Amino acid sequence: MAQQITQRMASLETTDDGEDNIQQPQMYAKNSMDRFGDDMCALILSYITFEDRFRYECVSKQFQRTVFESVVDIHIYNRLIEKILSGKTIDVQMLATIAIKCANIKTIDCRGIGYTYERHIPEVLNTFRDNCRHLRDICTKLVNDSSKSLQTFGSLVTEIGSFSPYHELIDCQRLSKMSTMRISDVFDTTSGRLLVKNLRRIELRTHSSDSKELLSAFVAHNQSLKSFTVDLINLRFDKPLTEINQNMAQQMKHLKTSLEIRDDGNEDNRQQNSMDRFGDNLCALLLSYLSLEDRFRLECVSKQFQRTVFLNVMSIHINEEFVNKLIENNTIDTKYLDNISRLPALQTLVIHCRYYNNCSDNDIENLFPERPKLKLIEIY
Amino acid sequence: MADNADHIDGDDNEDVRAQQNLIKIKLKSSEGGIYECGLTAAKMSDLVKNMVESLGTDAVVTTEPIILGNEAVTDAALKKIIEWVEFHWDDPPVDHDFEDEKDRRNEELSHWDKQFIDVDDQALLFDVIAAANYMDIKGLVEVGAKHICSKIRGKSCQEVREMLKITNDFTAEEEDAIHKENAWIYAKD
Repeated sequence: MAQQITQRMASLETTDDGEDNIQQPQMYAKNSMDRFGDDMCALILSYITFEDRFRYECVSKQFQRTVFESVVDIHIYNRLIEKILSGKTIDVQMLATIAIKCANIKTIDCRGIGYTYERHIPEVLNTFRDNCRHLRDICTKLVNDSSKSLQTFGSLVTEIGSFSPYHELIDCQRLSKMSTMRISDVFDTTSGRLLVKNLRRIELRTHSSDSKELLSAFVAHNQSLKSFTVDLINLRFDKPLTEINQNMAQQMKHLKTSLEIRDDGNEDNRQQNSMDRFGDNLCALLLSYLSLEDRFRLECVSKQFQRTVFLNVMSIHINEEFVNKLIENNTIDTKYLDNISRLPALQTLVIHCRYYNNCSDNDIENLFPERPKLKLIEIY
Repeated sequence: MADNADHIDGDDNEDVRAQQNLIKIKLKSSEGGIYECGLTAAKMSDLVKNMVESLGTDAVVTTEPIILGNEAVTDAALKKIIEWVEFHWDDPPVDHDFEDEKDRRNEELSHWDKQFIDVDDQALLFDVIAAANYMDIKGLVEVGAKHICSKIRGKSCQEVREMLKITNDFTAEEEDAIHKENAWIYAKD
């Protein structure tokens, strides 16, 4: 009995999270989550997934009060749309209930809605706008019938995914980030007028050297640009790339954008058609598209390759084929494990060939303290 | 020594932080236990940091221990908290950029943190979280919150109640109504 009493705590004056204005006459067991006040409970529940919040709403009244409090941004994706479909149309009442429960939403991101459900985007945005009074940022993609929506939501749109050029883009005065196919998309097709100003980030799927003038006009009205990304994978790797980079670098010399042809004072000395002209960041980006096998094969191309070729490798899956091709003696020993786990960004290492593994559980366990980024080693 | 200690207050330089962590201060739990902790590590607690800054490092080092009066700061909880800050004191500072913050929230706990927080005694776990919250150690509160959320993932409401010892204060009708509202959750993928 005495033990029982010491195991419980009175919370007459304050709760654990220091809210001294909440009078709680109950006694709470120390090992019960009921001991926490609403703020603490909301903080803990802020780490559960969006769907789990609805699943656990009925755990207790405190959960009901707090579980949606931290939902400030919401990503709408195909799976969610599928769940709230009633036949071919959206169950608006259900969607409105979701929106009402998540009243603190500030940002809604619809870019995850695929082609099949794109037509529902305006309806989704409408429902959230009507029920979430804190809504201030919309990230969306523009679809065929977006022009009407833009007139309504334009002032809330801050990010735009793939789109076709719309004159109404001009209504998106707070637009800060967009991705599109080419630079000409941000110009009105008939008048040639620039539709977006003061962007902070832009991502282009492709770019060509004959868009020089458009690029100048774009840069002139987007001096706030912090990041200009061209998806290099869609470019041919020879002449156009070097031309484009020259052109862009020249245009944006005076801006602090993330497009950097790194120069360490020796740029003039570098051959324009040589990959040596690129700094480590760009080199690592280019090499990030290589297969793991090619990375090992090409590591010795140059010191820069050696420095950068593994920079983006976050996970490695070692299977029998990998062992046979890439590991000397076809055995994973402690030395090899030690070396491979040193890759700077490595977080996950999966070894799918126990037969070749000569390392003990201890060897593996010992790696973690010295590799703060490494979070998971799985062995099958 | 005293002047030096005050001089280096607030300096973010890594070497200085390491040097500062050699200075030991005393923390007193609500149960009366007194424990030593490196200064830089202890300052991961905003509560302690503010006290040190208002009293001056000298006073904190040479005088009475800092009293942590909240009842959640038991001896056992304080020992765990000191273990955590002594491991994490040299972590890089948190970037408050919104995108990075989102990534950080979604990031899985490190192996060390997982082992640290996976304690069998749930009362101690809750003490650590409540004490970390009182001491304003955001990183540790986050570790506790992520741990609890990972424990309940995939469980039913009843299992969550049992696991976290939560009293169900809904009537059956109220619970049914909520289930109906959230029926979409249970729709097949």
